[in-house]
Formats: sequence, structure tokens, C-alpha cells
Amino acid sequence: MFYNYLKITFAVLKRRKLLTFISLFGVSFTLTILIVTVSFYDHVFSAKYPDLKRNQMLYISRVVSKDSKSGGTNTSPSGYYLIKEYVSKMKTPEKIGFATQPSTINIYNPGGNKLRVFYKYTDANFWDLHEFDFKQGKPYGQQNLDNHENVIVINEKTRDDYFGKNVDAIGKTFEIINEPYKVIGVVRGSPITRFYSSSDIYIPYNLTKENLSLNHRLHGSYTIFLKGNSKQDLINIRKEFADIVPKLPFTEYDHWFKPDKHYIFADNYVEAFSRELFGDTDTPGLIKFYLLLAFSAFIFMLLPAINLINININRIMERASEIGIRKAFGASANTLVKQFLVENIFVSLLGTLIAIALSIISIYYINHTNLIAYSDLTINWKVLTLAIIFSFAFGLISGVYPAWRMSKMNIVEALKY
Amino acid sequence: MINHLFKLIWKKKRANFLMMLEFFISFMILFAVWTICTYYFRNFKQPDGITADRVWAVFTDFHSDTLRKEAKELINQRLIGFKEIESFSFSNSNIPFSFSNANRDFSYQKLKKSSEFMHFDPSIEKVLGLQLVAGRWYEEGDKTNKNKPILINRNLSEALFKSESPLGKLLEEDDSTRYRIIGVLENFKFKSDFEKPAACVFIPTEDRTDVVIIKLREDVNKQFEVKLTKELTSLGNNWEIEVQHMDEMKKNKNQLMLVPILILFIISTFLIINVALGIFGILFQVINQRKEEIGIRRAVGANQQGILTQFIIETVIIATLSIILGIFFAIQFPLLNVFDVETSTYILGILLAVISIYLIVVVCAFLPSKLASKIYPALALHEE
Repeated sequence: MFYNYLKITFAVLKRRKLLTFISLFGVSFTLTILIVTVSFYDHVFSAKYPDLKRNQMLYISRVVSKDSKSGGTNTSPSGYYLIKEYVSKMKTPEKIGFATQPSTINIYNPGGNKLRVFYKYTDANFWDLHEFDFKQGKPYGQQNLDNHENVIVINEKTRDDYFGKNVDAIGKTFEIINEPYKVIGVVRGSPITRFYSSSDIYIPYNLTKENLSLNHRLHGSYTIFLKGNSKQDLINIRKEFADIVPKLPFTEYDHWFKPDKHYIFADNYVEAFSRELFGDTDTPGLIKFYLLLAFSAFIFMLLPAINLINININRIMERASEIGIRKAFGASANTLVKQFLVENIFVSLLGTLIAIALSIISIYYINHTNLIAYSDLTINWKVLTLAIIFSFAFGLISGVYPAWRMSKMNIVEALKY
Repeated sequence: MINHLFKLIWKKKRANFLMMLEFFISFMILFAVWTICTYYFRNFKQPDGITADRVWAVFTDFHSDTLRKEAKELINQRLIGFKEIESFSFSNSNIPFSFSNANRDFSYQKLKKSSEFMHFDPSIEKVLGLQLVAGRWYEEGDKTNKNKPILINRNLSEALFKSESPLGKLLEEDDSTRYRIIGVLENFKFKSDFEKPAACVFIPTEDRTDVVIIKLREDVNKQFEVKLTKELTSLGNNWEIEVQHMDEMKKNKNQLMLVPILILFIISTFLIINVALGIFGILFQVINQRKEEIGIRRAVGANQQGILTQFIIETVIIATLSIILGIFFAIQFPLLNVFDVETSTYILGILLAVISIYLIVVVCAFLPSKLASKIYPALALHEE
């Protein structure tokens, strides 16, 4: 039966080439844009180089202090004091690390050319929590930090720009505005969209010019990484940290701003992201975030779907005689609806195949034009599954109404043509 | 004739309803895209009022607050010594084309306006090529006044004082803080080329040194940037200095505005092409189904031209109905003043959207209608 449906579909597709082209064009371009978007989503949120352990990690990315009387809030990344006095004393995390978010600085290579680079201060554990691919040398360890050595890790692009292409940079001096550093490692670069770990230059945190010991502030510039081994570990870490938050002191205030509550959470990656954008103080706003994504996809698919419905309805009219005869020989409305839906989903899937080909081309283009340096968008099985779900949804949305119209067709009317 | 066409459209209302819906959504998308384009284009055409060429912004970070005044004097002394520098001025971090902004509400009598807040010294006029339209800059004697002296831009002056002169009037920030307006600066773009100059208030820099804005002489060589950074860094302990070129900052901000517009443009173009092709295909199909009708019309005396216009006008009527519905929704934006955009921009957006829809309709309806008009009555009626 199913095979017969497919044969009929092909026959119909071949009959009206223009309409077939228009349907396939609509389906494939709509899905191409959706697939590229999903691929970008995957690029941002999946555990990829160098954040391969992202799913075993929790992030404390921001400290919010609120003055409930005046309504004022102070939001920033975590301070060193919070890490030293509270987080580092936690028992549940298997490993704790921290790093600043990337900031930019101008440096000048020996030839006097300006390089605008991202730099980041990290601790030694940062290197264990992320899986960097070292092309040359090695990361700095606790030993280097304890000795206050001026060592840095740079990425390949910065090495090429500063020292020359593929030069062995280990042990060479890298000057950041009057301050000489020794290059100790060269890593493969990573896209800046993974901003908790990505940077051009990595510097040990205790070389920062801030005075760390005097600093009693919970607010600062660090993102804290907490690693657990299992799902249960992560739950325990969240719990332990949630118990610490009410004990935190209120150190920063002046005459107009007296905070009386801190909102600080250990979140997974997506939660940390959506809390930044959509969350209020208590919930990470995940529901809002996903609803917004779903709503945008729906709005975007609406116009192509209506277009396809319109085309489909016109195609049925053309097949009135076929439908009339099938009805006359006893096909139920249900069978006809089913047949038409199968046909329509088949067309959608055909469109999906074209869309996947187009997506591979666009993604290749995005990856190779340096739109985002080091971008590694891919079409993996997750993206593909979503693409097929989208295409089924599209086929259903655009097929149900025409199929219903068809099944309602009066036999006598239909056979008149 | 028109009555007859309405009757025809009404008879096929279900199929036509879908087409109307498509036109309606397309109209709304086109309205949005054209309004945004018009808005940015009009802003782009406005004079800049500021020159970013050969201007550098030196961002400083001293890692301490206590030495500000001394630090400013040190930098001042050092900068005067450079013969490459034409002029320079101190400011806070909220400078033109930077990523920070500072907003506050200012009011005069009952009018209130949210304004950008910048710290400028009189020397900024030469550095950025700004223009004073009325009044004067701050002077030494102003320090003793009870109400701090400020300058405002023309935009704020027009918003709060209409055609009156704002000079000497008191601007209120809250109940206790009042400023005396002593001058008005010409509008200048400070976010990007595509944003209109918002209302601005300028107050004295005093001992703030977050940024030094420098105007260079012509033909300063590339090495000067290294020299400047190194010398300023070595003036103090733990100082951090970062030089940015204002023309690059401006380019960055422009790009940041353009990329989303470009993506919007690509997606909507694709949607519109999709709709156009759909309508094209459907009309082909419809004409096939209405062959007998066309045959009869031709048999009883309609000429080719008549058939052609009939089909085009039928589609145009459907489009017009959806455009009327679309305009009803679109007109709510200027009426309710949802965004801070001039009414004329919305109207231009609507107008361009209407034109684009009719263009699509006529182009897509022409070929199928032409085909319809070519149908031979004998052949068409033979199939019956």
C-alpha cells in the first residue's frame, strides 16, 4: 500500500513540474535556514572543543546583589574573594577552576604591527577542566603560579601573527605593553562563541595588576567552573553552593545602595546563558528561552507553510477525478487523508534532502570565510534528527488542511470533471 | 465589471482566503523591512557632525582611585610634549562609538527626556570637530555657581524648549540636583552612522581620566602608537593603556548595526520569493481549471486584452483587500507611537510595501494571464 502511495506521489510530482519545483524550493529553503540555525545552536551549546567536559560542569558566571528597598541591583562576574573564601572550600566538586571572560587588548609585534587580541586570566586547574589541543609546549601549572613566573599560553593565530607562521614559539619572549612574558604553550584556537574558555592569550591569574589580597569583594571578573563526575555530583554541588549563598557577607555598599540579598547560582551551560538573557533573579528563564526559539521557528515556517497549503489545495482540485473514483469504489475519508499526508511528508523529506545539501554548502561557507574565527559548525546526527522532525512538522502543517478538504469532496462533484 | 469580479472572487472565497492571508503576511514583513531600511537610510543621510579621522581614544586603567588628579596632570604634561598630537581632551568612558552608555532622565517644567550623559571639556570641540550653536563652554568662574553648568545638544533643546532659547534655564535631574544650561551643541552621531543623534547632556570632566581623546596631526607614522602606549604606561605603577582608533570603532559599530539588517534582508527576500513563486504557480493552475470559463468568455466576444486584464485585476483586488487589512495594522505603529520613529518613516515604509506587493502581483500574474488570453475558445470548449 505504502509503496503504491509513493508511486502515485512520483507520478503527481512528474505531472506538474512547475508546481513541483515551487513546492520543493519552498520546503528546501525553509529547512536550509532552519538547519543552519540549529547547527549554530549546536555550535554554541554542545560540548565541543575545548569545552568537551561541559556536561560535567557547573558555572558560577554572575553575582547579583539586590537592594530590595531601593530596587537597585549590582550584577557582575564573581570576585576572587568569593572563590578563595567560599567556593574553594566546597567539598562536593571534584575540581574547581576559574577564569576571566575574554577582554581585548592591543599588542604590537616585533615588526611594530598592531594586533588586537583577546586575553584571559586563568588558574592552573582551568587546563584540566578543558581539553585544549597543545600544538607546542604545555600549560602552566600550580608550580608556575606559585613562583609568579611570567608565562603565557597563546593560540596558533596569535603565534603566527606575532612570531611568524609555524615558528617554534616555546621559550620566546612575548611582550604585552612593556611587560615581557615567556611563551610556554601554543594551543589550537577555539571560536569566541565559547567565551568561558576561548581566548587568544591565557595569563596566570596572579599576574593580574589588581591587588587580589586587599580585595574583599564578591563582585569581580571571574567565571567559576565546578566539575563533578556524575549527575548526582552536579545535584550535590548545586545544593552545597545554594547553602553557601545565604551566608555570604554584604561588603559593597554606599549611602544609596545597601544590598540585602545575593542571587548567585551554580548553573549548567544553557541555564547560565539563558539566565543572562531572559532570567530574573530566581529562575534561569529556560522556559522563556525555549519558547522564544520555538515561537521564532513557528513564525518563520508560517508563510512558507501557507504557501505550500495553497499549492497543495490547487493540486487536489486537479486530482478531483482520481479522488472521486477512489471514493466511489469505497475508500474512506480516513484512507484518503492518510494517503495525502504520506504524499506530502514524502515531498517534505525530498525537500529535506535538498536542504541538507544546501546546508552543507552554507555551513562550509560560514566555516571558511572567517565570519567567526575558528567556527566549527557541523551537521551531526543531532542536527539531522531535528531537521527531520522539522520536515515532518512542516509536512503535517501544510498537508492536514488540504487533505481534510480533499476527503470532504463530494463524489458527484468530483466526478463531474 | 468590478462588481462581477467581486462575485467571482467571492465564489472561490476559500481558495482566495489563503492567497489573501499570504499577501497579508507578506505585506507585514515588507512593511517591517522597508520601515527599518527607511529609518536607517534617513539617519545615514543626516550630517555626521563629528570627525573620527585621525582621532584616537586612549583608554586608561590605573587600578586605584586615589591618584586621579595627579595622574591627569602627569598625562596632560606628557601629551603636550608630543609634537605628533594636534589636540587632546579628557573624557569619561562614555565617548562616541564606544560600547558603554550612560542614560539619565532630565526634565524642564513638566517635560521629561531620557538623555545620554557625556563628560566633555571645552577642548573636545577641536578634537572631534563639534559645533557650538548657541551660548558658550564652561569657564573657570562657573565652578563657584550653585547650579553646575552644562551644555546640551540641539536635539534635547528642541525636545524640552521647543523654539525657546534654553540658555540660562535650569535643567532638573531630580529634586535636589539642578544644572544651568550655558550652551547648545549641534547634533552629532555618537552610536553609529545609522542611529539618529539622541538627546545629550554634557558636563565638565573634572578629574575623570577614563579616556583621553587625541587628534593627531597629518602623516603620523604607525610607530607612534607603540611609542605613545609605552610612554604613557611607564608614567605610573600598574597602569594599563589601550589605544583605539575612532574610525575603526565607528566601523565596528556600523557593522554591528548592519549584520542583523543583512540577515533580516536575506530571510525576508527568501520569504517573498517563496510567496511570489507560489502565487505564480497557483495562478497557472487556476487558469488551467478555468479554461472553459475563458473559452465561453472568448466565444461571446471578450478579446485577448480583456481576458488579460480580467485575471490581473482579479489578483490585484485580492491583493488590495489584504493590503487594506495590512495598513490597518501597520498604521497602529505611528498611532500608538510604539517606537521612537517619525510618522513619515512609517508612511514611507507602508508606501514602499504597497508598491512592492503590487509589483509582485503584476509580475506574477502577468505570464499566467497572458497564457489565459491565448486560449482558443474552440479548443477550450472542445474539452467539455
